[in-house]
Amino acid sequence: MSWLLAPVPRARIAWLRLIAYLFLVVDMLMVTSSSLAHARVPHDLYRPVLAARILHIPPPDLGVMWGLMTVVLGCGLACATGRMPRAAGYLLGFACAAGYFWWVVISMSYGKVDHDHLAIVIALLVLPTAGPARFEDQTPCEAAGWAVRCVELAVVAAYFLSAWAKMRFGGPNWPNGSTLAWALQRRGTPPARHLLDYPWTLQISQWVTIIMEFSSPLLLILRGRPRYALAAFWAGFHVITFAMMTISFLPHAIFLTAFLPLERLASRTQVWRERARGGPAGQPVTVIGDQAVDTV
Amino acid sequence: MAPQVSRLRRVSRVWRLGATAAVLGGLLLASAYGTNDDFPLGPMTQFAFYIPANGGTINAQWLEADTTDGEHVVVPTDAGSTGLKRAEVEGQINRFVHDPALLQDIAEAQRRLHPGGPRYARIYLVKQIKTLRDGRVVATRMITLATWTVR
Repeated sequence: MSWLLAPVPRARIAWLRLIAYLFLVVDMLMVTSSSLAHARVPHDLYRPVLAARILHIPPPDLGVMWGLMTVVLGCGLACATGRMPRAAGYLLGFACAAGYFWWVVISMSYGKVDHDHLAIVIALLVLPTAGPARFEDQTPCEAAGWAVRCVELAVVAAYFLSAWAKMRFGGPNWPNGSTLAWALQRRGTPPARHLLDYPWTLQISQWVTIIMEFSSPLLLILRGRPRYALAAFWAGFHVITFAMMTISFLPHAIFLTAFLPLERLASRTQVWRERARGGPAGQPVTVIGDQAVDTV
Repeated sequence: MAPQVSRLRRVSRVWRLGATAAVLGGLLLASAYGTNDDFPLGPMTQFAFYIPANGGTINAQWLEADTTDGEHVVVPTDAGSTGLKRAEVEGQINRFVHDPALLQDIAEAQRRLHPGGPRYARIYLVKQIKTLRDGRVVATRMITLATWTVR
């Protein structure tokens, strides 16, 4: 229980908010922009997922979708500043999360569900609950700790449950099959398609994938460099899958940053600012409170 | 000087723990018994299927069209062209096969998204089947699943 609420410096929330809400712009304009295109499709093709049916979300209307995007991005950018008073932060943050949920449910309601949106949906829901957070605020805080932990859990769940689904639907022989060949045949980039001539490389990749996905809970257990190394592995994994088949998984991958001690960036930027001012270049700058707690 | 830890009150702890347990429970249930319909909690089914290296097939379905300019084109697979991505066409494939009139919707969406360009006169739903041996493609064939003359 205390693990879920282990305090982290509020500054990490400030950085995560900046990352999440700025990325939201990219996501809505590029990754899930199909919600806008869907609004131009006749309503026959709308196949609402369960959440859309429960919430009675109607087929999208172009004007409504533009309005929704404006409201969600407006609320998100206001929250990104981290300067909202507590009540306003809650209100705008949840408006942003609810609006984005509507948006992303529309995006998934035309016959294909993507699986890279769990982390961003969870992040938008939990980040407002941490209250006001400044970039220089190193106060360890349980509310911040819970929000960070939820994002971390969402990231790990996406990996671990992927392995689970491969066993459930593909069976234990999945890594020995030709699923990656299937992916490359259908959407492989020209350099990656060369690998189709060497099927054993694809089977090794499948073994590495399933082993790493099943071991992903280690991200929650490891501390310090081993943890950062594992997060870096996954970042590299997403870079490689993008290079091979232009699947970015970006709405998930950017939240690998939740595993990093982002709060230390504040002291770094202070050093850069000192240097830019011609201050004591290369000299350590005293930052009160930095790393005062064991960052988890 | 270590700053004072900011603690949560009891009520705040309880709802957080409850919400975490509910969402984690939902995720696990959906992974065990659910389907993609349960988004965002559903099972993470991307690439979660087995293709035998011997005798397995790699299928792809997409749309092609004759345009009013007399050209035969592959209908682009991004949502910006016809409002549907290839995976979405494939996700609704049985509907298109059983009711090709739905392809009229694709033509109408393309017309709305590209009002100035050539229109689709006839749309074909095609399927490519590649057969594997030792993990390599040894045969490829194409079939047309449905055609629709645009009204």
